[in-house]
Amino acid sequence: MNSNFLKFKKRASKIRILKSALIGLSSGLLFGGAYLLLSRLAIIAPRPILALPIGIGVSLFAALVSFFALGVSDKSLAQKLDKEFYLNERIQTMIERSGEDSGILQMQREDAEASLSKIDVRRLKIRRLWIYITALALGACITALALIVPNMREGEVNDDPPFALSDMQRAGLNELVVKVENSQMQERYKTLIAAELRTLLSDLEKTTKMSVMRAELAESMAYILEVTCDSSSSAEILDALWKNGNFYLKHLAFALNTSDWEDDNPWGVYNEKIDAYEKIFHGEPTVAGEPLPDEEDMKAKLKGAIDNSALNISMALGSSGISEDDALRIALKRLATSDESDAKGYSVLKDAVSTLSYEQAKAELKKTIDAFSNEIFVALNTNKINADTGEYTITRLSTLFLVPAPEFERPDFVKYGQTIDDSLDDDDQNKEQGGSEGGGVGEGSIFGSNDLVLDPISGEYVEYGTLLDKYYAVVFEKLQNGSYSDEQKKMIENYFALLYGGLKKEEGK
Amino acid sequence: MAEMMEFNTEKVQVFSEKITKIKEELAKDVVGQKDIIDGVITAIIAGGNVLLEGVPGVGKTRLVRSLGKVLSLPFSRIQFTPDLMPSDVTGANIVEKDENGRLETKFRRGPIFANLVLADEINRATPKTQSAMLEVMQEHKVTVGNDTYKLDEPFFVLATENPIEQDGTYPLPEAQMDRFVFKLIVDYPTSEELVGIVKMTQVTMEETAESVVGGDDILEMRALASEVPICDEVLYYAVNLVSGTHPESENGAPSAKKYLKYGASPRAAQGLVTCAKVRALMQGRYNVSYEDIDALAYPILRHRIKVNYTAVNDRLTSDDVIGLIIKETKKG
Repeated sequence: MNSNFLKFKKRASKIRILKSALIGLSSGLLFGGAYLLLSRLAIIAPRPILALPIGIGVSLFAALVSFFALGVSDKSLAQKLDKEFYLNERIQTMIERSGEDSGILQMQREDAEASLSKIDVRRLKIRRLWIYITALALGACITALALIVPNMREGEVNDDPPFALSDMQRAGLNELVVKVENSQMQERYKTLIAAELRTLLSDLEKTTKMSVMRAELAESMAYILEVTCDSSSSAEILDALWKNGNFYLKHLAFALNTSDWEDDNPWGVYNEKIDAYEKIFHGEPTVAGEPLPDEEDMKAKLKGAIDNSALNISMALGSSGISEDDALRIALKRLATSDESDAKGYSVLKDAVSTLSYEQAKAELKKTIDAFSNEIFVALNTNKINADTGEYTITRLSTLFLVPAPEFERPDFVKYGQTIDDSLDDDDQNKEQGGSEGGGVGEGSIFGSNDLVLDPISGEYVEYGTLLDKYYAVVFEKLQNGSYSDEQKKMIENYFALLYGGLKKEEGK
Repeated sequence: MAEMMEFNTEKVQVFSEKITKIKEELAKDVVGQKDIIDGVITAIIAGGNVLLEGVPGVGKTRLVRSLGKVLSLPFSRIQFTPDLMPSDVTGANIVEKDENGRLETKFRRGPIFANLVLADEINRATPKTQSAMLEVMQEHKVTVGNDTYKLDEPFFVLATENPIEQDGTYPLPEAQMDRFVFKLIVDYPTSEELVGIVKMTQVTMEETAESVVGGDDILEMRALASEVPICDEVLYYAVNLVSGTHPESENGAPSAKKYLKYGASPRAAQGLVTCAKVRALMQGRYNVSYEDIDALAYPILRHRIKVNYTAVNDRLTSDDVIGLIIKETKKG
């Protein structure tokens, strides 16, 4: 092939590479810059760091696509040369007829070659270069603008910053364990929650990522809620009643428990439970097989007595302000509305008639019901203490680690006449018992965690412990965001450790 | 290969020399009219007939006469008049006595039997006589009765017509027009040319050009020109240009659809490529370019297309419409 044409072909290849590079670079800058700009303006794209891979990816893709799309064949190059240098289709004819041979074609080739030789190969330039330069400049401007504009996302927490359990948090968790263990919560829940808190502390010691810390904390909070709120079910209340120690109450509790069946409960189970009730209520029958004087009448009257009693309980509970949807109320209503066939289970009472007359049974039942009316509130109060302790634990965890507490509906125990503080107000009890006041550190004054102090931000009096938590939350956020130097961090942690340590010490007294 | 190339180089050199000589000799008798002279030479080498249109006195007849001398070819002139009969052109069978005194029929050749024929004021003859030229111009043959007589090569008809004085004239039918490869418009000379004409005729009214090429030379030049390569893009462009003049066709250019009643025949495409090759060689090029096609589109197409009333209303001539079609036809 014509050597002059080959020179132009090489030049065209270089131009192709240069054009592809320009297109790639422009595209990369345009897309990467636009992404970065939108991200920094907080319009889209939560991860500005992605701008780099996006830019590089788009750049490579565009460069490759344009490299293949801009391929120059001999024919198209010949057309370009003819058009650009006014060669009167000499080169096109030369290339097209390169496979043929004749005298005039040879002369045509020589003529074309001579024409090409007169042209400086450097005159073959990128056509419409201004478009490429404009695109490149635009991409560069967008990228530069993206780097210049203030980052609207500044101050936002990193997606997953590192986490290290601070001395403050460690101390707070240990203190919380002690508080739970010293609370009036029922022992079984207390044990579970304290164990959970210890496990949490152990896990957090090894945790290095904020997201993992949040997940672990959320899991613990959910567990604590599950444990403490579960006591609102009728079974839990009855269980509480059962353990309360009152003989009659136990009987009624068992009776209520047996009545709390579901539709799919087999009849046999119900009978079995009633039978068990009778055994507990009356003990083992001493005279077996002796028929009741009037079994049907006995059954009807017994059922009537039970129904009336249940109704009385239901009314008593209603007037005490227990809500309609309370599980206990539901259980009682089921007992009250049970149909006559339910009483079949009492047929075995005939075995007990010699030891316990109908009147005696009725009297015993009445006593049981009366006792229950008094004891139910004790049970509910116990339940409330459990829930309050759980709630306090969750709130404290939330404050310590700045993780929002789970938000879902919980039983409203406040209406039963107690506040959260009642269950955990050891200091108040201490005070009443002549104990020393709780302590704190700062400005020479000594505060207990429940003492009211002035919050300088809100201008309101709040509990010292709450204010301390609030301050700690602010400092904790700054510590996590890296706003302080290591030296400052250490100093701040020591300071708060001292404050919380003071509180702990006072509580210990 | 080397021999072939040398042969061609020599032929091309001879071609150029002859063209130069023809032009030099013609310049002795014809002042100016460079484009017309180039057009006529191109058509003659391409083997086509030429229709020269111009007002009286612009040198049409003189050019053809002078060309006849320069080409050193048997030349005849036919003055077309309304009473001219076909046999006056082609010749006729006549009855004459032989040596033994017996009567026999003999064909007497008409003036058409020459290599270069000047059909002066061709539009003054009746259509019947004009039609007698059809076979001659296309096939270079004359048929009289049952006999066909072949004309000597090269054969050209150079006809003239007057665009004014239309009374008593018979416009050439389309079929006749199509036989002319070129229609050249001979314009008034410029002032400088007119001065040259006046000066020249003060010396002598006779043509002074001398013969420089013969019939064989013309045939050789034609053969050489036919070898000039044309690339596909240019060839397709020429074809598209001719197709573009067809108002009814899908390929018709928008201007053709708007301004033309009918377009050019395939002969136009053939003529366009053949003449473009000659023009390229005359320009010292060994390939046909778009420029050749564009330049020749006017003389080749202008008499083959017919403008409609819209064009007349818009004061557009055939040349204007050809110009529009050239712009509308894509190159490459």
